[in-house]
Amino acid sequence: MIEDAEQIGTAVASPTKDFFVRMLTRDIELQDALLDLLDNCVDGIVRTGPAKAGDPRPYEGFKATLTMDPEHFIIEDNCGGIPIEVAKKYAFAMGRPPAAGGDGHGATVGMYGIGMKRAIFKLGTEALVESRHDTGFVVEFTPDWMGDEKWDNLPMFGLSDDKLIDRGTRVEVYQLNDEVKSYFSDSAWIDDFRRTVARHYSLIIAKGFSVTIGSTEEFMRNIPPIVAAEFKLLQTISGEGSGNRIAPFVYAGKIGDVDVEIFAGLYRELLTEAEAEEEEETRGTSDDAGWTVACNDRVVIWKDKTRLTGWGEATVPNYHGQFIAITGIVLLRCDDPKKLPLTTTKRGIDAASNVYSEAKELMREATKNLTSFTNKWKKFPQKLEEIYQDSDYLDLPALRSLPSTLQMTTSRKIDGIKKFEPKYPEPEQEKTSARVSFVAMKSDVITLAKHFFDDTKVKPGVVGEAAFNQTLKVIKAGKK
Amino acid sequence: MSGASIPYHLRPHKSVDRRLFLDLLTRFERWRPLADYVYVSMGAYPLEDHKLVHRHLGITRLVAFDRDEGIVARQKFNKPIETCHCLHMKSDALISSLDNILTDCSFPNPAGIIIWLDYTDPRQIGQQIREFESLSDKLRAGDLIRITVNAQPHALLDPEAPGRTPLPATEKREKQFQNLKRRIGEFLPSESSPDDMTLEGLPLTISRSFGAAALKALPVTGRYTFCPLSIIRYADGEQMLSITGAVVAHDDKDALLERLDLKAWPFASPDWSDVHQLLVPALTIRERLFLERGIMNKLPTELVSELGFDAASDIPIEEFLKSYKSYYRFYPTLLTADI
Repeated sequence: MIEDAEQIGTAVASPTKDFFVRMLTRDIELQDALLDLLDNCVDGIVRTGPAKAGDPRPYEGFKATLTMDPEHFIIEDNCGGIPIEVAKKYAFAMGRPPAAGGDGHGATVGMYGIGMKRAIFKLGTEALVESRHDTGFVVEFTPDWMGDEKWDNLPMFGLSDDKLIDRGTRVEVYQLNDEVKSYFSDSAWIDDFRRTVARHYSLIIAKGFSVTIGSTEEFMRNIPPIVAAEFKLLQTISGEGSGNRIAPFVYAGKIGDVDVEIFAGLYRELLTEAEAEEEEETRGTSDDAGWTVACNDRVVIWKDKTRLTGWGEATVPNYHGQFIAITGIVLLRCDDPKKLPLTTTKRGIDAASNVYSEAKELMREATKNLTSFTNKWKKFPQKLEEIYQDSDYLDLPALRSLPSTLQMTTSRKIDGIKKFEPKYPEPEQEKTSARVSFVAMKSDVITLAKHFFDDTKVKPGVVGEAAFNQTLKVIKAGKK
Repeated sequence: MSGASIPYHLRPHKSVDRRLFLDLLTRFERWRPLADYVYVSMGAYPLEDHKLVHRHLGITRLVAFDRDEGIVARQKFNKPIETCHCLHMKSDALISSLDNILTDCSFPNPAGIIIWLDYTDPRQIGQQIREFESLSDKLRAGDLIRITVNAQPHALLDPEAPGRTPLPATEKREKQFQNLKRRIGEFLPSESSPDDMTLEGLPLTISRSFGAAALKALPVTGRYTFCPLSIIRYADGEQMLSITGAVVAHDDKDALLERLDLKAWPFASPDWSDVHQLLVPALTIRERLFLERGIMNKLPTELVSELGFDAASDIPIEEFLKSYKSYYRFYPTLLTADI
């Protein structure tokens, strides 16, 4: 602390608006900025409280529509609106002032207080925010305000009584930035955004929330609301008395204050021999493998196959085509969103978070078991079909009910977590058989194919097996 | 019966589709001359399209390829000119080393490339769409891509064993949709559903999936975009979908469409959702000449009543006349000849 010297003036230390508008928006993609606006809708429902815990579809009846045109953007919801006092003091400030306190109103995902402003800056230079919770209001962002260096308070007006009667918020942005204009003119891009919402909002939509996205023209054609991307895992009933079967790995409990549920397993049958061969060459099947992570129902990581979710860490192999059937989901929930490993863009995860690194240990445990299972069967693909007999799929609500019905054991590693780790079927031949594979001249394979099957189109593997069996038979007969 | 097993000259739809492609290329010359382009296509054994682009557009830099050595040998015999290179190669290998291949064929730095990937196997739609994605990423402004893929809903399921009760339609469509989703899930339009697994819905779904793949290869904020020009479905046996489009700088897209005057061209598809149906019944020469004379000034109902029958090769004449008006100039006349 300087004590002796005389102060001769002050140096400007406040951020310039230009810095915020340019830098803040450069770090976020348009899709993520738009998802921020949607997050505000859902947080509105949670904050205003009608969504009851325990209700399987707490968001039923709530909806948001996003209209995207080269000239303007509108998002409108019926999710409760912004209370006038919150609007006056916090909602339009940059970041949440400490006086606003934590959210304290349930499991939201908004925590930094920049989502709406950042999205408006990303979209354009002129905007109207209308909202009605108690007293309806309109706040206007003008190009002059956006271009000005000063941080003047924004003007607030009364909202006419016929608007937003269902209590909700409507954000309209004009003077869109050039980049945004080109995105919104491209119907393929809009559809790509719908797919993003179908994934990142899959849990929220499955709980009844309705999101409709399209151009004005698409709305005139009555475009339907987005259908949630599904998450499901395969299970079979136990066969052959061994009790071994395909079933989800389940981990549930608390890490600190965060509720954790983890489900992992297979979402499809393992690759057949032919499929595996083709996958080596080029990716032919759509890839739904990988880990999904959701914080307070908002999916922040979708089907990840990197170190971020434990692939290629510790004893878990790196992801590759052979593991195409393995998938898992992590649900983290906490009434204080600051305790969740959320990042500001909400796509990706704060990997340094303690909660997440403990959860990741459990994820790796499941992945490791599932990769070993896949590896064991890789050698005996022809027996694979037997293990799927009487299989069915469990969707997320069915999976979430498992911890109350299964015999869960306590995790030694992490206090507060109970787990269920099923025993998967093992190929019996593993102990008695060996895999034979070799390369031969095509012309020779054809010669043998004609000899054994009178058909040159028979697969080389089948021809090889026939030749092997024939030789074996001759030798065994000779010995007798 | 798959298209590939029908003799080439008995596929009138494919023949007209190819002629329409040629007509589109002729129009494209309003934007850029094509004579110095390289033309790359599978071409099958007769190299029909290679012959056409050489004769009509004067293109001499020709490349044909096939995964089957026997077909390549036949291509070498049938090639229209010496500068047609016939390569034994799979499409993914061709795409991944396109530049090297052109150099090996002594066509380095051509004015542009026209490439036609004529796929047939419906089970490989996943690879096909990803190959299109990686090809789009390799091309420059002015290059043209044409893709043909199977768009027959039945082809998404393995044939049912003879004697078994067929699946109910809803169950069948559900299975078809699941198979399609498994193959190209990440590209599927967001609102697609099992209800789209119809002769009309599937081509539209596939076309829009190709649109999504094009967007992945050439993002909105990049320099180039893939502009669809013509999307057509037709069936000689199994239904096929052919998509033709050009890589163009974002800023030039409107100018390109205006120069080509595609509004006046009946098979134009400025959007991935504009899929045209091509109906080509096998007509006798007498029928064809009769229709050709009347098509421009008579109503379809009049023509049908004068013909005295309302369907040819299971295709309703009235329905077919709507599309015939747009392509009658390209209707193939096939004559039997003793040579």
